[in-house]
Order: sequence, then C-alpha cells, then structure tokens
Amino acid sequence: MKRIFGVALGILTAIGGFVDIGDLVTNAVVGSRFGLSLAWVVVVGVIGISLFAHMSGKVTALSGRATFDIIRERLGPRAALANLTGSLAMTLLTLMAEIGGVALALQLLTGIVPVVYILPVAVLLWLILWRVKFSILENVAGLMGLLLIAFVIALFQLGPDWGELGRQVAQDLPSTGENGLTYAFYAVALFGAAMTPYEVFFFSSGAAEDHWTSRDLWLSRVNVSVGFPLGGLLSIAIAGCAAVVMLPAGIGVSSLSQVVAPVGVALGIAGLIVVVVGVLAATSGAAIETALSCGYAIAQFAGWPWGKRLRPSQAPQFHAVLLGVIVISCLVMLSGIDPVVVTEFSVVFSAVALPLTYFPILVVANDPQYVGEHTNGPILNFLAMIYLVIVMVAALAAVPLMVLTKMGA
Amino acid sequence: MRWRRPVSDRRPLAVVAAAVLAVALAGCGIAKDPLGVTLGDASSAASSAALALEQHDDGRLTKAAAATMVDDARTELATAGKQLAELSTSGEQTAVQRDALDVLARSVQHVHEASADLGSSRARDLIDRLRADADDLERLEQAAVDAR
Repeated sequence: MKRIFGVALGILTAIGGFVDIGDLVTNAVVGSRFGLSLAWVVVVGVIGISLFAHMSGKVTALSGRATFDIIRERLGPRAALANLTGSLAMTLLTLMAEIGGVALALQLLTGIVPVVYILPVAVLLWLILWRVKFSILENVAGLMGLLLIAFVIALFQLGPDWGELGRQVAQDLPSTGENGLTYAFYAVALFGAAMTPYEVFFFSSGAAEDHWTSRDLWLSRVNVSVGFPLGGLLSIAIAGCAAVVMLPAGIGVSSLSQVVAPVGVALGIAGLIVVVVGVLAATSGAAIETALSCGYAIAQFAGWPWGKRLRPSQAPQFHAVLLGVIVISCLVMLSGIDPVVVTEFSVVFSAVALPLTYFPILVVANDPQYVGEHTNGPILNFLAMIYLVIVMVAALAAVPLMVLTKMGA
Repeated sequence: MRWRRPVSDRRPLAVVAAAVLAVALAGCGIAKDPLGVTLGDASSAASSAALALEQHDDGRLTKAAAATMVDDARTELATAGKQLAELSTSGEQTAVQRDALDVLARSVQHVHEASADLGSSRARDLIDRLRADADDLERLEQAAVDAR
C-alpha cells in the first residue's frame, strides 16, 4: 500500500509541477497562436525532465541525501551558490505566479477580483505547510490535479479535424502571420515551463521526505515514466483545446479565463467547474511544491535541519524560510501585478537557469561515492549530454529572444 | 575525477555566444509591426468577449467565468487603446491609426455594455457588434501591415 502511495509523488510532481500555472498559460498561448506545431517541444521537455528527475531520485535513494545537499559537498560552495541563486530566484518567481494562479482560479469560480484572494491564499498556504503531513499533501494535491484530464476529454468532445491537428504537429511555422523569432521564443518558453528547475529538487527532497532507499529505485523509474508523461499529455491537450477553439476564432490567449473556456465550450458548465477545480488543485499543489523547494534549497545549502517531517521547533530555519518566501510572494502579488505576466517571466527565466540546475545533477549522478555501482550508463550519459547542449542553447537564447520579440508579441 | 571550476572566466564567451545566437535567430524572421500587433491584440480581445457572451448565453459558461473573460477583454482593449494612442506613426499608417482609435473606442463601449448586461436579452445583439468590431480591427491590422 505504501508503495502504491509512493507513486503519487510522481503524479504530484507531474500535475503540480509539470502542469502548473506556467504550463497552463504557455501551452494555451502556444496552442492559440501556433496550433500544435510546438507539441514537439513538450515531448523533448518530458524526456529531459524524466531523465534528470530519475537521476535526482536515484541519487537520493542510494545516498539517503537530497541532491542539493550533495551538490554543495561535491562541487563546493561557489558552484552550489550559483546553483542555489539561479534555482531559488526562479522558484520564488514561480511561487508568486502559482499564488496568483490560485487567486485567478478562485476568481473564475466566484467572479471576485483575484487581489482579494492573495492574502487568504498565502495564509492558508502557510497553515497547510505548517500543519499538514507531507504524505497528505502529495496525495490530495496529486489526485485533485488529475481533474485536469478534463482538457483531454474536452479535446475529444470538441470533435476536431484530427488530420489538421496532425498536420500542425508535423509543420514548423503555422501560416497565421507568426514569424520565426516568435516561434523560437515560445519554443524556449515552453521548454522552460516543461523543465522548471524546482521540479527536480522537489522530486529529490520529496524522495528524502519519503525515506527512499535503494529498494525504491523502481519507484523513481515508475514516477518519472508515468507521472511526467501524464503531465506532458495534459500539456498537449491544453494546447490542443486552444488550437481547436481559439485559433480559428482569432483569439490569442492572454488570460487564465481563456485557457479554460474551451472546456466550457466542449463540456458545458459541469466540465468547466471540474477543470477550474483542477486548475485550483494544480496551482495550489505547485505553490506548496515551490514554497517547500525554496525551504529545501536554502536549508540544504546552509546545512540546516530540513523537512516537513520535522516540527518548527526541530527545524526553525527551514520553517522560517517557508514563511519568508510566502510573505515575499504575497507582498509582490498584492501590488496588483498581473499573475500571467509573472508566469511568462518565470518560464523564460527558468530556461536561463536550466544549466545551473541540470549540470550539477549529472555530475553527482556519475559519482560512485554517492550512487555506488549505479552510476549512469553510457546511453543515459549520452542522452544527458545532448540535453545539456539543448539547455545551454535555450538558456543563451531566452533573453535575446525575449527582447527581440517583446515577450512574444 | 572531480569536476573543477574552470580556471579562466568564461562569461565574455557566453555573452558573445548569446549575441551571435540572437543575430542568427533574428535571421529567422522580422520583428512585428507595433501598430499591427496592437490591433491584433485588440481584435483578439473583442473576439474573446464575443465568445464569452455567446457561451454564457448558450449555458456553457458560468456567469463568474464569463464575467471574468469579459473583464479580461476589457482590460486588454484598454491597454491596446493606450498603446495605440501613444504610437508614433507616419504616412498611410497614420490614417490606419486614426480609424483604429475610432473602432477601438466603439469596442470598449461594447465590452462595457457586455459586462453590465451579461445574461440580458441584448446578448445576441452585443455578440454581433463585438464580432463586427473584431473583423474591423483585423482588417485594420492587415491595412497597418500593408501600409508599413
């Protein structure tokens, strides 16, 4: 039974991590402007995150320590600080976006402006992180997030021209007045959204919270091979719904209300409510993950006691960081900044931070001191090296593309 | 073998690589015309408001979701109007800009009415008006591109 529940960790990171506010918005924007012509980026992202999350889970299961903990020891304080700075900045930005996403989802349910919800959401988030057990967090958020499957059902219910969708997948640039620069910008943004750095750190630290051992290596494989592809499937369905409803209507998605509208068109009010609750669960789950990831990263870097299993009196610095990042995020979002804009910045800058996250993981996963005889094989290392080249290109291209296209305008 | 920090500072190399990549990527396409982009956004917003009204009228969107979608469209149209008014144009684009400001003001008015009358018997009429606004803005978007 415990092992079955263990799979929920992968589901949680797939739904709450892979499909978070960044994926919801970016996939719908891309679908409404480029159809499914960027679906290949999601596939590339799913394979990449699966490879590196597996390595990260393996390191934790075999060493009994979270990846970031080891990175500091293995690469030294300077490299670890670069890793911490890049990942933490992106994770904090993502946390802000997720809190905004929760508020936007509540607006869709109630019609009340999102800024009203920011403070209550932040307080509730802190109470959940303080009081609720890790196992309950992962199971509830993971299962509720599965409601996003409504996007898949909606896509079938819309009765699209599958041949046309297939042609969109096969083509590069659609003939809708978009240019190569914008296409490249959204390819990088989608890749950044799929390979968000906090996902692997949460996966690794979550595995430590669940006390994984070498006997749980299979769990790591199941989680990444089931959980992440499920997230990728949902991402493509979100883009597909926008491609079928919004693209022909000349509507470029720019808000969360437009992301979920195709589900209402396909399934009516019941479907709409289901998917909005799913969005609420996915963004809440991701807010929990990102807040915890901030705590994990800083505590592991500083060598403080960390973990949800420890009470605030046992890990005061860790719990203080959780409270601190929630307060900062809450204050920023209360300023009235558009959560969708924060989301767009978070996915682009995630792409910039990718090499800082993934290179150290590859180094640690090849060190027998931590993984014994289970160092990466030649095929896994070959694939990982290809991905390092891809993440370097994405990281270098992200900011120039953002400037040249004025955020994909 | 342990990974070691590179002896030389490679930041200048990264900057040069980013610049080269940007130039290479710039070759993939041409930056879009700001007037056209603004009109495209406005057309999209008008279409979005029309879709929200239509789906709410058909019983496929809740009032809260439809109101949110219309409100988002109103914000986007207001932003487009502000950007349009601030754009510096010349030649034939000036005429397009002038016409666009008129259409945009009309669209904003229709979205305001849609927000206030959500679920009323006027919905169908407003849907038609918003669709017409979207078509006009799309036509002007094309005119802006042609006039560039």
